[in-house]
Amino acid sequence: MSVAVTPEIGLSTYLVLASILFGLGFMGVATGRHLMRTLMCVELMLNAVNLALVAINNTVNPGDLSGQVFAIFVLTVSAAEAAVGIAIVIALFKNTGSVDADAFKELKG
Amino acid sequence: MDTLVFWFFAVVSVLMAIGVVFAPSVLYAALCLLSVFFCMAGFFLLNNADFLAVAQVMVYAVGLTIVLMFGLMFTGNQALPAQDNKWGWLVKTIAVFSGLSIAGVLAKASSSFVPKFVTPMAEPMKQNVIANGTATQLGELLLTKYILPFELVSVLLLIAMIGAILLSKKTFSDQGSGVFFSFDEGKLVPEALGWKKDVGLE
Amino acid sequence: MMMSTSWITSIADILPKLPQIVWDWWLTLPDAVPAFTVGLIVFAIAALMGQLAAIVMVLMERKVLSWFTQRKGPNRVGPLGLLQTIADGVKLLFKEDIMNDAQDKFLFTIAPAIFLFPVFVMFALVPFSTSIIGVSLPIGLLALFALSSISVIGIVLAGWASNNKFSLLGGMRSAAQAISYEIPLVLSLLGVVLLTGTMDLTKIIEAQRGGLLHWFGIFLAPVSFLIFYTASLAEVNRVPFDLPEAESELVGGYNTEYSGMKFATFFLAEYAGLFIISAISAAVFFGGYYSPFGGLIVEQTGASVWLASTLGVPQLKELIPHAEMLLWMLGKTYIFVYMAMLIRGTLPRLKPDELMGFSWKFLLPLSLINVLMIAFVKLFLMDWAENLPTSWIYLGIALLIAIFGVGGFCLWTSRSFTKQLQSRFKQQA
Repeated sequence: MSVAVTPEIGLSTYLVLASILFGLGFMGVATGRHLMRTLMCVELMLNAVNLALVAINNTVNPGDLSGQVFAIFVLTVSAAEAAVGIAIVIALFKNTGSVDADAFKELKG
Repeated sequence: MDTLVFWFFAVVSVLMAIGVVFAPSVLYAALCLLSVFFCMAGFFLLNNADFLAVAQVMVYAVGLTIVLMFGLMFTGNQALPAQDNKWGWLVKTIAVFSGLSIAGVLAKASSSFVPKFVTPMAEPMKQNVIANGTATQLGELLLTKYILPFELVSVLLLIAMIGAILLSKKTFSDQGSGVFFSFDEGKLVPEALGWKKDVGLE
Repeated sequence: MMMSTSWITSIADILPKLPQIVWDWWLTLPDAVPAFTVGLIVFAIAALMGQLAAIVMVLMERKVLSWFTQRKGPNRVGPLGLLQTIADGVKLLFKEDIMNDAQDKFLFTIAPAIFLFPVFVMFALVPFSTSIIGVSLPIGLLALFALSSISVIGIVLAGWASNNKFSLLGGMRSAAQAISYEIPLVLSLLGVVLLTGTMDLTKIIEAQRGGLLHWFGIFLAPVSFLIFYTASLAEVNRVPFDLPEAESELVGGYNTEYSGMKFATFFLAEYAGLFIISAISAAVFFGGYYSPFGGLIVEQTGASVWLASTLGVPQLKELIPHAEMLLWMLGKTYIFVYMAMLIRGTLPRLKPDELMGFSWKFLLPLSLINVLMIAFVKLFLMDWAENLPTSWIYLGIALLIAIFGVGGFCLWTSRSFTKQLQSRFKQQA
């Protein structure tokens, strides 16, 4: 296959990819008005971090899987975060009838 | 082989991540997120993390996406009304630029990144991991070296579960306007049909 | 004339060398091509197996249900009605594919595919003999359930894209049901994984080589099997749990709006899923491709060696054991398929709240107790020969906990259940 690529896919390629995904996720969190989309973008950022963790683990010390253990913790915590987040969004929707982040101005302290 | 698969997944995941951020319909954004999750599972497989790849499919690609879709169906997939904020465009531009700059800075830093320490036995270790699978070693690590975080995470999950149940209890719908779903049929249905409560169904 | 003959002779010269030429050309290709090709071939074979199994099972279901209700069942097309499914398939192929403007066309089209593909991939992971298996993964069991849960996304999307309230309700019911029953399903298999120490399906089957007494479903983990079979019936939307497509309350559930080949796709995937679930039951809990008498009959009686030597075909020595393995595996699988069909003939459908309550209040605690018990047995009883007296004490404690724990739990749930029923009847009166 004549795919013009860099000779070897090393750690830095994975890290660049992870940082692009992380930046996109941040963009979504900052611009998104739909609360569900904000949640999704947080998940995207966490996934980018997971990718970096696994890639670093596989390059630096593949015999000790600590990086993958961290990735499992990130996975668990983000699952918990998503469950609570969606419950909050649904509760807000039931009270105000909107999922627009701008609609919750009365939450200002 | 690995190179080809990597570039396929890389292109698809970046395109789909753009979809997550900019897709007009939120349901389509959720679908884009689903494909990003599958690409991540592919990357994990390329990095000898087979257990993590399957866990990714189980937890993220299925569990989380279904919960997201569930939430979307509760809240309705309608488009949001146009923003009346005067400085909205400025906020948006700043956000996009800051996102791009975060991505740019991180990418620039990591494109020339070389780890200071790489274990000399990396290649044979990799072969060993590929031959045995990662599940056994992950289990051992979780129950010996990382037992404290493991237990803390289980407590966190319990707290999250209780919190989610409390937040989505029925009482909220009683207080609120009950726009979409109203669960107390005993109150709503007879009045909507024009029946008196005293007459009832007898 | 001369030209043509020389042409033919040159072809005749090349023809015997052709395999060698093709092989040489094959070796020059980059390694991505063979890998993709092999993957495609494995997937194609798996898909073919899935379709064949579904075709057989649709006919079987109609026949079994007709016996159950004292009817004759399909008996017009072909001998004994054997070609009925093929006729139905052809009919569905030629039906009009109806879509209306309010539907999301892209999602409406892609939903049946998302439902079908993981089921076909699962066929590649199920071992039918020591060598008839597409891919043997060290985490095969977990991968199977990760794949089986992907199908639910197809159902939810189908319900959403149909733009029909019955479809939407069916899709949401399916999502809730799948998430709830996934947990007891995986927890029940955790017991077997604890006992064998591996998630590789071939190794789990190898651990049960000793015959009937070594099967996990008989003595070692029978509660696991019961939980697994119940939860898996819910996972593939079979009858006591078929709320997503309850035709008497939701018209047709998530496939109300589907017609033609798309409807057939849903139908096919459901039956293929039932086959997979039965095959996993047979493989994990009932010895897989080994006979109930330990090992294989042809190997123990020496029939394969004898046949190979008398017929003078040495390859038979390898082939006959595999044939027997295939026979055992398919036979056991179809026993479980038959069981699911009998359950469909017998039980009524649950109510949605009963369905969720059954999973969260009964199956989940029971499976947790079950995992605890199996861990106890594994820790203290498996090496009973080494320290006999202490292990007898532990055995006594384990038996006490088992009897009182499981019995008390069942008593408690049945009591609360009858109380619920009583209060419901009192309200009505």
